[in-house]
Amino acid sequence: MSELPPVTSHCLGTGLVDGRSDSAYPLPSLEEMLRLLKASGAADSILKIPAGRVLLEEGRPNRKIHLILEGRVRLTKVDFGTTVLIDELGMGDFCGLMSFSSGMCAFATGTTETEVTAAELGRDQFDGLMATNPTFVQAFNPILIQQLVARYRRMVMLHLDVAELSRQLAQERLELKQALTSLERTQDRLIEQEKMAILGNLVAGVAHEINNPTSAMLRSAANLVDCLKDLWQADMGTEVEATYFRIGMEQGLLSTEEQRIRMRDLAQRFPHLPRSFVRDLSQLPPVFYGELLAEVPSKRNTDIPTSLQRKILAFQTGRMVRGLTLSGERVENLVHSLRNYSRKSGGVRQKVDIREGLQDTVLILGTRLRPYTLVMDLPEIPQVSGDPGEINQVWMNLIVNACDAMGETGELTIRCGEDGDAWIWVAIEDRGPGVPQAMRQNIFQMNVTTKQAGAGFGLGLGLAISKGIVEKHGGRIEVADRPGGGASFRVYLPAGE
Amino acid sequence: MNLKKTVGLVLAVLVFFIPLVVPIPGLQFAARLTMGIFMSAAVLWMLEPIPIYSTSMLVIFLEIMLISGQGLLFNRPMAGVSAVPGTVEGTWVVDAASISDGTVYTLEEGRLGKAVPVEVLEIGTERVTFKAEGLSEATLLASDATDWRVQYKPLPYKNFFNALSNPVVILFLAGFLLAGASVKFDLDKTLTRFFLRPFGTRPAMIVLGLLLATATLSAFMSNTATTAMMVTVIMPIISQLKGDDPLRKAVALAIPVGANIGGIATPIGTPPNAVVLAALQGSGISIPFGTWMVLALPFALFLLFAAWLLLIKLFPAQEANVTLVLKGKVNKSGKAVMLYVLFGVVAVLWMTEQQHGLSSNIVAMLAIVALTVTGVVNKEDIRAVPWDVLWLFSGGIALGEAVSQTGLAAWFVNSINFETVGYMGVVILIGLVGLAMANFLSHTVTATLLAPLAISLQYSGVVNGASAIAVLMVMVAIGSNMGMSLPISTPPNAIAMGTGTFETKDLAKVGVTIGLLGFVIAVVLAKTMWPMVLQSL
Amino acid sequence: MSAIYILCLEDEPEVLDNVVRDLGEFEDTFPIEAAGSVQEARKIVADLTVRGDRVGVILCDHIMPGEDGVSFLVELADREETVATRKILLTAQAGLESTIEAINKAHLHYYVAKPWKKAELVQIVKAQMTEYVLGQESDIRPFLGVLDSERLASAIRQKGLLTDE
Repeated sequence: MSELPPVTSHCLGTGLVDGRSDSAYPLPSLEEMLRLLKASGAADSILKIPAGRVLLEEGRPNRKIHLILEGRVRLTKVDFGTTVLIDELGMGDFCGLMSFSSGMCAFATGTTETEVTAAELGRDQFDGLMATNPTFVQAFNPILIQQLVARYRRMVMLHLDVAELSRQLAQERLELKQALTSLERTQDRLIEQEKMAILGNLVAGVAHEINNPTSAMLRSAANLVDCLKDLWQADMGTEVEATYFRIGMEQGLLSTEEQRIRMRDLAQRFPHLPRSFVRDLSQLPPVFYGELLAEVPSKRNTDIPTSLQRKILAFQTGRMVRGLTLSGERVENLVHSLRNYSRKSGGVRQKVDIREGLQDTVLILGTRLRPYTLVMDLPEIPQVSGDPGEINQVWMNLIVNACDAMGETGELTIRCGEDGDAWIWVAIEDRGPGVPQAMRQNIFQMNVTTKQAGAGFGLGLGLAISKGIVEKHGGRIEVADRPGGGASFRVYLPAGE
Repeated sequence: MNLKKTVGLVLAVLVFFIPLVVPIPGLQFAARLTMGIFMSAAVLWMLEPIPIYSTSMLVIFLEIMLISGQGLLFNRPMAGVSAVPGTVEGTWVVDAASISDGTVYTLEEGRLGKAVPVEVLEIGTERVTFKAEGLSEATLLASDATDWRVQYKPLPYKNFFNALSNPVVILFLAGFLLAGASVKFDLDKTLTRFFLRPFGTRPAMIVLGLLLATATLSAFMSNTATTAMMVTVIMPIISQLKGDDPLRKAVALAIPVGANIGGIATPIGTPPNAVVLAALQGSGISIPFGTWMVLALPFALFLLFAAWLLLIKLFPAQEANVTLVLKGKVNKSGKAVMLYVLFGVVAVLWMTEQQHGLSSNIVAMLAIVALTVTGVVNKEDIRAVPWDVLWLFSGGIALGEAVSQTGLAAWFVNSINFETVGYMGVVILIGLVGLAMANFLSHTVTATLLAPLAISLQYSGVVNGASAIAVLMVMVAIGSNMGMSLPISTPPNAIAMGTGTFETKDLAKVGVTIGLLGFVIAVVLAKTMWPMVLQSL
Repeated sequence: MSAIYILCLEDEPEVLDNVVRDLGEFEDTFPIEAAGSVQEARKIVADLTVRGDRVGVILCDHIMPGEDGVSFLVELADREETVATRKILLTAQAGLESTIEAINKAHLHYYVAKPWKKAELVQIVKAQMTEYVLGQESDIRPFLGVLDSERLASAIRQKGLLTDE
């Protein structure tokens, strides 16, 4: 039951309404009332009623009126299944006055809380009194009116209370909402960081796994070189092929332009050779053409001599082995960078080579950066103390932002340098639209993003997280315009210990 | 313009002039021109500096221009002698400066008439005045047998133009329209499924089935289209088999072999047959459709059977069972059903030519009308007819006409003594030459070059009677069709090779063997069965 | 006779070399040209157009420094001399938008995702080149042993590309 402070504004005993007497309708006092009742022969209407008795039932017609002399009666109403306390009646109060007088059904349920002594008047008795006893009528009417007024005032007060409570409620709701949003943001950030942590672990694990087969591959390739050399040198007739193998290993891929020129020349000199053979021939260094071309058939549809085929095959084998080795080394480097990138210090501060971290990050981003022209200017700078994995995240974030700002193509510049003895800086610059003055403060806050929904870092957390990491390392992050257009993000970190 | 083409053109031009420059006794002018055209065409057809149908048109054009009555050389009416006014009787003038002192001959109906001694009085720039006895106004004169007007009454140019609408051309047109409609309504695929189903899953039977199905279809449709369709049928079979299974080769080779053999079975099976038939018809000998089939079917069946044995022996299968997945629905639309009906009716009418007496060329026209009226064949189908192939053998027909009518044929026959070789010798020789040429040249060109020479042999002593010449010409047809040992021999070979399942050496092995076998079978039949069948001609 | 080329456009030299090598069996019938950038490819196309030759198939990566592959394909689709060229995108990454543009504006014929298998790539190029040849050439005899023979045979049957002669 909800509690409301009872409004004791209609205490007959004091004959006052709200502590003031209403002179237009003076209330009789309790004693006067009792006297009147006794004088009217209604003394036997005074009863002792035990506690818990229902004097009045909500929704039913009421034929009795009770004047409470001693004890308390609770008025309750059922609202949506719950019983709500409306009022508490005590000495000098009438119970059931409204319903009795108006003939309407009772508005509330009246139940004796304690043992109550009350004068109980039935309909007939009351009608009799009203009809025959003008003094009674004179006494009773003000009571009725006063009750009405009191109830009306009470209703008004209650309305005001409700309004006040609503306002408070709205206010609290707003505050709760804000708190909720704030919590959600924090949760997102934590999830993001957790994801990064998991990813870091995953990457470290995968990198480790890839390492073994990659090493095995490179070792096999190296052994292959030795085996092949021995193979060719085992026989006098094939020794020369070892040379071609070596040339193949040393020579990188020709540019398409160069190959085209060589093919055209060879095709002109030997128009009867099939084009596929001309292509094979064109890949060898022209220095060898003299000795090779001596063996080339001069007529159409003649088979190519075996010795020539073998030399070319030896050369191609060399190229294939080279390709194998280079690709294997590329995987190795990639894995190395990945491990650097995701390295966790576990709270312990480490020496961090900023330049290596930048290069690792660029390497990992790989094809993402291909559409853009990359300018890297990284002079030697002192190391920084901190968590290499986290710092690399900052570079990743800033570089990806720069790419997203530029769209399909553009120039991405990564520079670093020293600022006095105490600081080093790293600048990541793009040729995008730049950051407008008004936004410069805001972009490092959560939830500020200019990217479309669904874009990778588009939660707007990237810069906020980056700022957090940078500041954790004792540094600061700034954004400025570049002359000629674009944004320049600068990170300052304390140099050395 | 590459070297080969330039050489071809230059050679063709040079060769044209050889018979005109080299003195050849007994060969009159028009016949020399024809020989020039023939040799030039041969070079053009063999080296192909211009497309072969183009050469055919060139042949017709040259004949019209050079040896027809409306052409450049023979279009002036030959001027006869005219009297000189105011002179004594016996003094004449004539336009041509082809007479000189001595004896000339009167020219009657293209032949030398009586000898007339002349005394030349005056040789002007345009006219010659002379004295002679016994001449009358407008008599034609020729100096001697070598005079270019002797023994040649210029053919009207219509005769050469008619090569383009020769009844045999119409016969083939009907065949092309029926074949095109069969492809359009998938009748070829339906018939293939129908034929192959009873052959089961054993590899040897499947090879036999493929041979028979391909041969049957190519008897009525072009060998090339049949091969193209069958290639799509055998691809699923080939992909089932392992890469080194010889059955792949057997299956793939069965198609071009079957197509080439099947083409001989009916007159409309392949263009060389058209050249042969037209040449015979030009000599008044007509082999009915059904009779041709009676001659050719036993040949085809024997050879198909032999080919089957050869293929399964040379390329024994590794797989024991091969599933033939034959998908497809029978086209039941109105026009398709009409096609089935018409095809059947026309085929029957053709095959029963002797019974009902209506020439197959006329039935062909009926077929064309029926197909177009019922809408089975529409404008697109007419445009899709391979007109170049029709033109190709039109050229052959025109060439044959000129060779026989200008007397070149007769001269050819008289110049070579065929007695020593004898009839069968000639048959064998023609067959071998045709077989050899057809391996390297287009089949139709082979027939086109051989048919005029072969048909002229009817005037020699060795080939006596209609049946004898008919047998010889059938041999020409067979020889021209049996060349199948190289990818260039005929398009079915190239298409089958495109599947990449066999090599040139496999094709050569099979093609040479079957070619020679076919030749032998044909010779045997030529000696035994064919003369009996053709007795009635 | 006008030659029909296969053009390969890829900026990473190793990958380009692999593509050319994988397509080696076509080279004697369809000469292959390799380009490392859109600019180079454009020049190659211009040169061979002047000579009267054509590009039958182009294999093109998308992400490249400078101009990207899809824009080049759109450019080729708009030019008369290359509108019939069969266009294949051979790429590790092409977002949905670029792919849609390639299909709708460049009339892309095939999309191959890297890494590819040699046998598949050869099949795809063979099929595409067969379509090109069927659409552009009247004499298909030189291609019978090199291209998709089943498709060629089917076209021969339906359109009478080859006849008895």
